[in-house]
Amino acid sequence: MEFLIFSAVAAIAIAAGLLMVLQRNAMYSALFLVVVFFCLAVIYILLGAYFLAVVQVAVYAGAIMVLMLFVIMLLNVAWPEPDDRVLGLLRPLGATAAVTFAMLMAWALAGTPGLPSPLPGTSLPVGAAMTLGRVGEAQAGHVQEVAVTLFSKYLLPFELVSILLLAAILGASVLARKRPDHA
Amino acid sequence: MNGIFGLDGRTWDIILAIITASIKAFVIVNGLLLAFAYMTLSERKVLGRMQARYGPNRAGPWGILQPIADGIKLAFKEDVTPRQANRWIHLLAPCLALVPALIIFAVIPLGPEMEVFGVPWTWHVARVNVAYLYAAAIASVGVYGIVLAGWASNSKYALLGGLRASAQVISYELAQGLAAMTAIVMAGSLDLYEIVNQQVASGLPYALYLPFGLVAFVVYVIAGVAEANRAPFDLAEAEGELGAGFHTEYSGFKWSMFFMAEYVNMINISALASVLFLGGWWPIPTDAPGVVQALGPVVFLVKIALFMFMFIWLRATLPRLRFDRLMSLGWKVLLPVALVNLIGTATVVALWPLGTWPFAN
Repeated sequence: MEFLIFSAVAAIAIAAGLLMVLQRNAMYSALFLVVVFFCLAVIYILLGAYFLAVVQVAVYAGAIMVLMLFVIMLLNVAWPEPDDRVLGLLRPLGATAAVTFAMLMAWALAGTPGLPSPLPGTSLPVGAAMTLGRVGEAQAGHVQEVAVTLFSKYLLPFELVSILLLAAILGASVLARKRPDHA
Repeated sequence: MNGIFGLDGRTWDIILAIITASIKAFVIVNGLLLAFAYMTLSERKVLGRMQARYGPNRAGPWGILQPIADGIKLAFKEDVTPRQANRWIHLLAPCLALVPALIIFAVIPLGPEMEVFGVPWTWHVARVNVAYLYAAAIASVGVYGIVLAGWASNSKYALLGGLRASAQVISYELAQGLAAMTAIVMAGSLDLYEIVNQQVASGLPYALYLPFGLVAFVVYVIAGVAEANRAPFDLAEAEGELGAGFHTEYSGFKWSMFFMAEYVNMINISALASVLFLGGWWPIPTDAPGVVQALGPVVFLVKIALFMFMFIWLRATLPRLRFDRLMSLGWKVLLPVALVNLIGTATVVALWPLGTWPFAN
């Protein structure tokens, strides 16, 4: 049952991801990305991670992509064809990024020593434990569990990320502010 | 039921759960659409009375057949798609507006969990431990319908309406979420059933936990009116400036899907406000005898109806805001108030144990 749902959703996610990259129309790309986010949310639910699933929908599909649509609508972009020189530079870069990401995923799934395994009660690395469905509801689904992990074990990264976000907010409001001398 | 057709108990449980959930979902979706139909009639009637006229009173006694007449008219109207519009997204947008509105109700606990002749019975389709977040996430998906309708119509009025709607909904979501967080902090749970349970057990709905509960309740309701794109915050379809806003280029059944989505969203917001701040089926005790428990959904529906009346009343009373005023109300008033309120609540909850709120009456 779980396997059937997983296969269907994974297939849809991969198809939508490919369509997103291959579309010329920015609006279609954005919508296919939303489809990918929903597929990921379904996979999180299959793993018992309800909190992660709803946050995925609320944050990515509900907020970030709406802002992206907002930008696409405001600019109403007809994508300019990039010239060959730019493409010649971008293609090797893209290929390198893709290969690096694939190796990183393989490394994480293989459970190389040195990567943290933050879920207590399982000897498997996170990725493998989740793939095999060894993550219990109590460990991944409950908000309390996520909060306790976030505010004890991962407190430093959490605070660093919030400082980064604060800097981004300040930067945005400085850029958007009306300057009296230029107005 | 072991061994029937060679299936074990667990499989039977799963099949039974699927059948029960499907029946409940069918009843809830049709109930919501019926409520929508009669909401349009009562809105026209109440608005009429508030403006010293009768409202619809010709189709059937007291005009009660008016929604049916309207429905037939809309279903047989010509469905026009503008030639320059994006056909697929033009078709997708009304569906994306209506479906999220309908599925939110799955997690709303209408009444206490009870036993009918020894069989456990629940009034909700699903009890999820992150129910409030589910409702908020699905509600934030509903805005796609409006945004895409504005974009796909290829009309400047529709586009402006869509832009206004997306900016407004994103802005007010923050204040609404923070106000809801106040109730969630008080209950210590994201489970809507548990939130109601805590209020019923403590004897007071959270709106009466002074002063923070009341402030959060008021912020939540104001932001809710903005989320539903209702007067005085209906900037997305300001007919004086934008034609009909995001649905200018829609007609026939696609238009009525937007209409349904708006009213079902109003019902959802009313239901969530009742759950979070008015205690759902309070004052019916959760563990009362069965006959009394069955009154729970009635109490809950009365609370929803009062909210719906308030929506109509607001529309009859208040003029529409200017768009910049709307944004500054959201960002400069509601958001800071909700944030300070949440910090205050968290402090009180941290200093006094749960259930011993010092300022409650």
